[in-house]
Amino acid sequence: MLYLSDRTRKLALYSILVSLSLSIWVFEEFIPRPAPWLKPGFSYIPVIIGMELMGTVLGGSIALLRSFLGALIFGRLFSASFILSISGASAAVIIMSLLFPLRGKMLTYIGISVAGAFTNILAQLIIAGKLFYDMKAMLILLPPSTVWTVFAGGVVGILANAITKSRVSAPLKERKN
Amino acid sequence: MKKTAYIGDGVIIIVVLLVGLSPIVGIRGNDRATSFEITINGRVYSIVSASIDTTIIIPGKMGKMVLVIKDGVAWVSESSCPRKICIKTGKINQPGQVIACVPNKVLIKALGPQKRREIDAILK
Repeated sequence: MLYLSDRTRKLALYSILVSLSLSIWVFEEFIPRPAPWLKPGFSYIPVIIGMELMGTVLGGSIALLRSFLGALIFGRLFSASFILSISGASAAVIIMSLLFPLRGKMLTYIGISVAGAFTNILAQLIIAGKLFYDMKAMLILLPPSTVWTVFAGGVVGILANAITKSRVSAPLKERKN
Repeated sequence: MKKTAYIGDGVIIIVVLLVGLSPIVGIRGNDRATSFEITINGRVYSIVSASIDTTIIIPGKMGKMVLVIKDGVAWVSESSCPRKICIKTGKINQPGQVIACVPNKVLIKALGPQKRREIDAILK
């Protein structure tokens, strides 16, 4: 049995969650999807787990770090798609952090995930409308995107529910920091 | 996390859908015709503002047509043509909608607010 200090455990857990989130994000990039900005969002599962195990600030930073490192991998750091990605991630993380204390009382991860997914898309469309394209075009894109976020966010929430309930995450929980 | 879903989840999904799908209603509601262009035999006869309620008698090729504009909506109330398709077309109020009367060679087109032209140049 290997014993690690709390700090080391936390560091290891954080690194694993970031790399998980990043690799899921990178692979999602290659999955065929209806539109470039509509991703399944499975990279938010590690974010939700991170929020549960290490608090909303550290957990949320996984999403931001993931956007940053992902852009680095694809060589589009500080490009338009990076700005959209990071602003979407920030908006989603803020909303998710605000809703997170309500979990188990009024919400499950499904609601948190759907809200996060929607704010992500909303922030991206608003930023895209203000900076790069026409706002009216973004309004047309919003309804279909919304249907997608409810669907994808729901799936992510159900998966996050299942993962946190299952035994897979039990060893992580027993020595919660 | 005992339950699989709470009421809050449903509330969030409903709120998200309401906010996200609202542009569908908004875009249609805002886009109203500002004027109507009347063309006879390919030539512009007149352009009438949609904000003034009027009745216009159009001299078509077969006889007169009566165009009524009220509350930004236009329709043909009387026509001399045989099949009355222009009357059956009903009321138009959105940019791009058209009432056509083939025997009279009359075309009534709803125009929206002036947009950027998509044609760069025309060569003849």
